[in-house]
Amino acid sequence: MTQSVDFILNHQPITLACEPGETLLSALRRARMWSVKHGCETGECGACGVLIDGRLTPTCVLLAAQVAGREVVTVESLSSGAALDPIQQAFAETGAIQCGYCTPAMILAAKALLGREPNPTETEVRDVLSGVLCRCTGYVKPVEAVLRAAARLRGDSVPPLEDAAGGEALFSGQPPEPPAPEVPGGIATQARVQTRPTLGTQSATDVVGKSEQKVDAAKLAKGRPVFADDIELPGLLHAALLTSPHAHARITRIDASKARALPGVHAVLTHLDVPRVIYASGGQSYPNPPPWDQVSLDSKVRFVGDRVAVVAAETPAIARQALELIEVEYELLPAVFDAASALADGAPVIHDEPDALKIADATRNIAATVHAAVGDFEQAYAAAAQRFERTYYSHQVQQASIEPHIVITYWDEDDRLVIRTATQVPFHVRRMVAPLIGLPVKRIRVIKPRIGGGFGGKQEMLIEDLCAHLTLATNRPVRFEYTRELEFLASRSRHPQTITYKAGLDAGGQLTALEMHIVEDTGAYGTHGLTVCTVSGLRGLSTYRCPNMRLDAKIVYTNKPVPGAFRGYGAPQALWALESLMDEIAVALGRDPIDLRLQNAVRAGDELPLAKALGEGREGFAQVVRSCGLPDCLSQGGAAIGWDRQHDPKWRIDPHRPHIRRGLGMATCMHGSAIAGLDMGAASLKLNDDGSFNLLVGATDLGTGSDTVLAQIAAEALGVPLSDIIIYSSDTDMTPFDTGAYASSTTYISGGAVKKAAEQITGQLFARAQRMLGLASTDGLALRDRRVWAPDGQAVSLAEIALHSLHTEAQEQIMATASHMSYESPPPFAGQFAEVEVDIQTGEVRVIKLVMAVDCGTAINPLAAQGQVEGGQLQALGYAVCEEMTYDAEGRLLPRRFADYHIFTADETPEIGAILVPTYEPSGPFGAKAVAEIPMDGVAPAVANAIYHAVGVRIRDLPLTPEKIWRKLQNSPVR
Amino acid sequence: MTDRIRHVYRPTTLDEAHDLLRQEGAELLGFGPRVPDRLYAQAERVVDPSGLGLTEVRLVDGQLRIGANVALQTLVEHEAVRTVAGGALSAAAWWSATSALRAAATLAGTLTALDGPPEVRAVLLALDAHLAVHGAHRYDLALSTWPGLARGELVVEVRLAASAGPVALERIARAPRDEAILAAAVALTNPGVVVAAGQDAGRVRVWRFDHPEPGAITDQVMAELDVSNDLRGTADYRRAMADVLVRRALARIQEKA
Repeated sequence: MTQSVDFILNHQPITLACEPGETLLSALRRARMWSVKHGCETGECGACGVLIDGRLTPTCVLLAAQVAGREVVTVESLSSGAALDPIQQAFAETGAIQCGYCTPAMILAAKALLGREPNPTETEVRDVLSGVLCRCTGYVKPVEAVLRAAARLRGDSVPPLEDAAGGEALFSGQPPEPPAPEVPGGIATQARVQTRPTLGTQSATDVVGKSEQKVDAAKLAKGRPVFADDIELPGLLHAALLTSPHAHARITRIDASKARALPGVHAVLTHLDVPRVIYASGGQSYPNPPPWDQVSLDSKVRFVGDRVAVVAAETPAIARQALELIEVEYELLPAVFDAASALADGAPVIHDEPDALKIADATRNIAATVHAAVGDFEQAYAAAAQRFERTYYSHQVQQASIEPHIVITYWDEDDRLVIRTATQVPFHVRRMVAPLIGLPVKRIRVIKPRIGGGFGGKQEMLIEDLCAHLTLATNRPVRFEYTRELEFLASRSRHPQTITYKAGLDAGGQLTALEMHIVEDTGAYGTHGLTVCTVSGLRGLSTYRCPNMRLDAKIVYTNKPVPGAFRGYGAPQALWALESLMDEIAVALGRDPIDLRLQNAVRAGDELPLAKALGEGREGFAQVVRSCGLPDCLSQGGAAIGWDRQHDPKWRIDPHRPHIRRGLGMATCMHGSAIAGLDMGAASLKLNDDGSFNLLVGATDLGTGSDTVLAQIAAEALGVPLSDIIIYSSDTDMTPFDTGAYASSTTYISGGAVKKAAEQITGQLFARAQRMLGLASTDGLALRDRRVWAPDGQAVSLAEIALHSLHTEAQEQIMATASHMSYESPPPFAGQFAEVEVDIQTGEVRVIKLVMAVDCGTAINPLAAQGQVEGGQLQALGYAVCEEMTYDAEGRLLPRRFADYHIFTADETPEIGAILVPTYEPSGPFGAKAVAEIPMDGVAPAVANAIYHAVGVRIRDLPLTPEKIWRKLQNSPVR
Repeated sequence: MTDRIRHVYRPTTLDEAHDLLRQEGAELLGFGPRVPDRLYAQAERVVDPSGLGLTEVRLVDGQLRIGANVALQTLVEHEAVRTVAGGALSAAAWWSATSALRAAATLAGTLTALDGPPEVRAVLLALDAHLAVHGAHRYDLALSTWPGLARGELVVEVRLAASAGPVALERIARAPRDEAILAAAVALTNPGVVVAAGQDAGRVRVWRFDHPEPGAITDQVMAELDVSNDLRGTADYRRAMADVLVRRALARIQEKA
C-alpha cells in the first residue's frame, strides 16, 4: 500500500511515494540522493546520515513516513556545478577524504555544527563527527577540515596548507608540552591535530613529493554517484542469501519450491542448481595458491554463516521473505572452533569432500604447511648465552569497511556479463568467476567504481559468483549487497595465530638463533590461509639480523567464519609476537628497548635470508635491503612521544589520580612493497589535443589515494601539472591488467608501470618536438611546464605537439602502454610508539598518544601518505584493545553490529602523530616504497609494551582488554 | 527489517495513540541508543509519536519535566538538564550514544528498550525519577517501581526533582566510547545513598542504603548484581568492578557534597 510523504528535501517541497515500511535511506536513494550511503541497519555507522531539521540523523532506522512535514538536507544541496561549499573544500584540501564513503555524512555533521556554533572547539568537532564512523582517516584530517572551514566561514585568515607547518617539524625532539586549555576558534589552537607531514628534506620534484589534492576529492565531497551501488538499472532484481545456522552440517534436504512460488521471486539457487566447480576465493594471481576447497553452493556447511541458498526477487523485502520459505534439513556434525581442537586426534574432518584439491592433510584439518630455514637453529639455540621461549596469540578481527560488499551484474547489449563490484581485484575476479559460471573470460567485463574501503576484505571473489549465477538464471540485472550482519558473519577477517618464538642471543645481546612456530586458524576455507602465514613467517623472521632461523607453520581448518586478506596480511600477527618478544628480551637483559632493536635490526645492504624460501604460495626471490631509515624513525618517533620520560617516576604516577600509571612502549616495523616476482601492473597513457593525458590503470584505488599518486607520477614524468592527467581505474575492458590493490603494491608496482609508460611517451614527444623544431637530434630535450624545451631555449608546447601529431603531419597517436613487475620488494620501516594510562584497579587502558615514524622512501603525496599512517594506526588500535570476533559455544559469532564490534569514533581517538622519514629506494618510482599496510603492524605490541612499562604485567594474547589486565594485576599488584 | 509494516499512523492526541497502540501488531516508533537488531520486525502497523509533541523540557513547580519524545541529544544540550544533578543526566545521555544516534534516540525509547547502554536509566533511578504513563488512564509512578509498558500504553513524561543533588556516574569500557562493561550511578539521599548499576540485558538495579558505608554497600551490590558473561567481560569481572566503581562514585559524591 503505497503512501505519499510530503517533506522538504534540499530546500524544495517534494512528495515521495513510499511503501509504509520503506526506510528513509531507501526512499532518498530512490530519489537519487546518492550521497546517502548504506553502511549498517542500526544507525551506528552514520554513513546514511542526513540533516533532519538541522541535526545529523541516521536514515536507516527511520521510516520515510517519519519525515513528513520535516526538512531534510543532503550533501547534494551544498554545491552546484564545479563549486564546492567551504566545508567540502576544506575536506578536499586537507586530505580528509580517503575512500569518501562516509564523507557526505561527515560534511553534513560539520554543516550542522557550524550552523549553530561558528567557533567550535576541537571537542565539539569531534563530538559531532562521532556519529559517523570512518575506517580510513583516524579522524585527524576531518577534524582539521572542520576547524579550517569554520575559520574560513568566520572570515579568519587561514594559511594555505603548504605553509601551515612553515617547514617546521611537527615534533621538535623535546618532550611534548601538555596541551593548552581548549578554547574555541582558530586552527592553530588544537592540540591533537596536525595536518602537514613532517619531511626531513624538500622535494626537488615538481609534482611528486607534493601534497596534491586527491584527484577524486571533489566528487567524493559532493556525494556524486561513484560507488558500485550508485546506479539505476531497469528491471533490477535484488538478491538475498540464506546462511547456515549450524557450524558444521550436511544438507540432507532442501526444498525451495515455496520460495520459488512466491510472487516476485525470479530465482532460488541451491547446491542442486549450480555447477560444482572447485575454487579458492582469495583474489590472487594465477594459479591461485592452494588449497582449492570451495564451491559456489555446497551440500555441506562449515560455519555459521556459510552459504545455503541465494534468491533474486523484485524487491529486497520479497527476497527476504523468500528466504523464510526455503525448507532445509540438516544432519548436524560435530564442530571445532579452535586450531588445537581441530588438530586433535578424532577431530571432525571439515573438508571430507573428495573433489577438494591440494589440501595438505584434510584428515587432520591441515589446509597447508610452511617450512623454511637458514643456518642451524638447533645448534645455535643450544649454544646461546641467553634463551627465550614465549607464546603469543593474536585474535580474529574484521576489516569492517563502511561500504559493505556490493555487486551488480547484468547482461550488456552484446550478451556479455558485466560485473560492477566493489573489489580490490577486478582482473582476478574476472578470471576466477569465469569457470564458476561457465562463461569464458572474454564474455565477462568487471567494472570497479570507487570503493568505500577495503582493507583486504575486498581482495576476494566473495559474492560476485552468486550474483552472476542469478543474472544467468534470470536474464535480469541483479543487485547483491551484504547487510552489516552478513559482513560480520560471511565476509572475511584476520587469521588468528598462535606464535611461539624461541630466541637465542649471545652475551652481547645479538640474536644468534630465532625460531617461529605458527599455528594459524583459517576458519572453514583455505583462501588466503597459506599466503598470510607465509608472510607472517617472512615478516617475523626478517626484521632482525640472525644467521640461524627456522619457520614451522600449520594452517588449520576450524568451523568458524573465514579469515582472508586484511591490511598487513600476516605481518600484524608476526610483529605482535616479535615485538612483544623483543621487549621481553630487553627487560630481561636490562637493555633499552630501542637500543636492543637497533643493535639487531637489519640495515641497508643486508640480505633477507628467508625471502627466497618464503614467496607467496610459491618460491620467492632473494632480497637485499637497499634503503633503510629505521634509525631515524626510532629517533624521531622517540622524540615525538617523549621517550625520555620512561625513567621519570614523577611522570609515571599521577598524584591526583593515584590509581593511574603511565607507560611508554614501542615497536619496530618492517613490511614489504608488493610481492616480488609476482605482482604486475600496467598503465596506458595517451596524449589529447590540448596537451593533457588520459591515464588508464588497472590498479584499484580503495581510498588510499593511489589514483592521485599514480597521476602524480605521470605528471612528474611528463612535466605537466596534476590537473593535466585524467586518470581512470579500473575496468577490465578499458584498462590494462593489474593484479590489484593489495600487498602494498600500487605505488611501487603500478607506479613503476606509469613511470615507464610516461618515459615511452616522453620519447615520442621528443621525437615530435625534434621534427617541429627542426632539431638534429633529441639530445638535451627536456619536459617542463607543459613544454618540450630544447637546449637552445626553443620550446614547443604539448598542445602544439598534440595538434601536430594528431592532425598535421605524419599523423600518429602519441600513446604508450607499459607494464612493470619487480623481483624486489623493498621494505618500508617504521618506529611505532605508544603512551598509555592504565587504571590499576580496573585494568582499563587509555591510549593517550600514538606516534609512528615511517620510512616509505619518497612519499609521492606526503599528505596522502600521512593519512594512511594516521588511519592505519587507529585501525590498529582497535585491533589492539577492543575489536574481536568472539563466539558462543555453538560457533555463533557474537558481535554482529558496530555497537558490539566497536571501532573507534572521533570523540575517543587518542592523539595520533605521523612522521615521514624520507629515504630514496633505488628500485621504486622516484624512490618510493610502500606505506599503506605498515601502520597496522606496530600498535598492538607498542601498546602491550607500554602497559608492561606502566604496571608490569605482560599480556600475550590480544586484545588487551581491561579484564585481562585486571586479572594479571590480581597476581602482581602495582603499588 | 520493516517489511511487514502496512500502516503508519501519526496521532495527535494521547487517546488516539492509545487506541492505535491497542491494535494487534501495533508498535510505537522510537528507540533508545541501541537500535534493536530487527527494528519493528513484527509490526504491521506503527504509530509515529511525533504528532504528540512531548518534546519539551520544562521546570515546573520545582520539577524538571522531560517529554518522552525528547531526543537524547537534547538531554545533552538543554541548559535545564545540564544544571540538574550536576549534569549527570546530560553526561549519561552523552555516554549512551554517539551524536547521530543521540539525535534519533528518545528518552522514551531509552526507557522502554529491552537492552542497551545503562547510563541514562542508572542516573534516573539514582535520582528517583518518576514517570507519567498514558494508557486506559493516565498514572504516575516511580521509575524504580515501573513494570514496563502494558499494551496500548506510552510514556508521556519523566520527572525529576530540580533540586536533586549531584549524581556520580562511573563506567568502565574496553574503549572510551564502547558500551560499558559496567556502569554505576550513586546519589546521596537524606539519609543515605542510592546506587544504581547496570545488569544483564540492559537492566538496571537500584539499591538504597541508609548509611553511606562503602564496604557494606559494595558487598551487597556485588552479591546481588545479576550479571553474566558476554563479549565485553565476565560476570566475575563485573562484580569486582562493581566494588571499584561504586566506591569511586561514593567518594566522588561525598566530595561534591
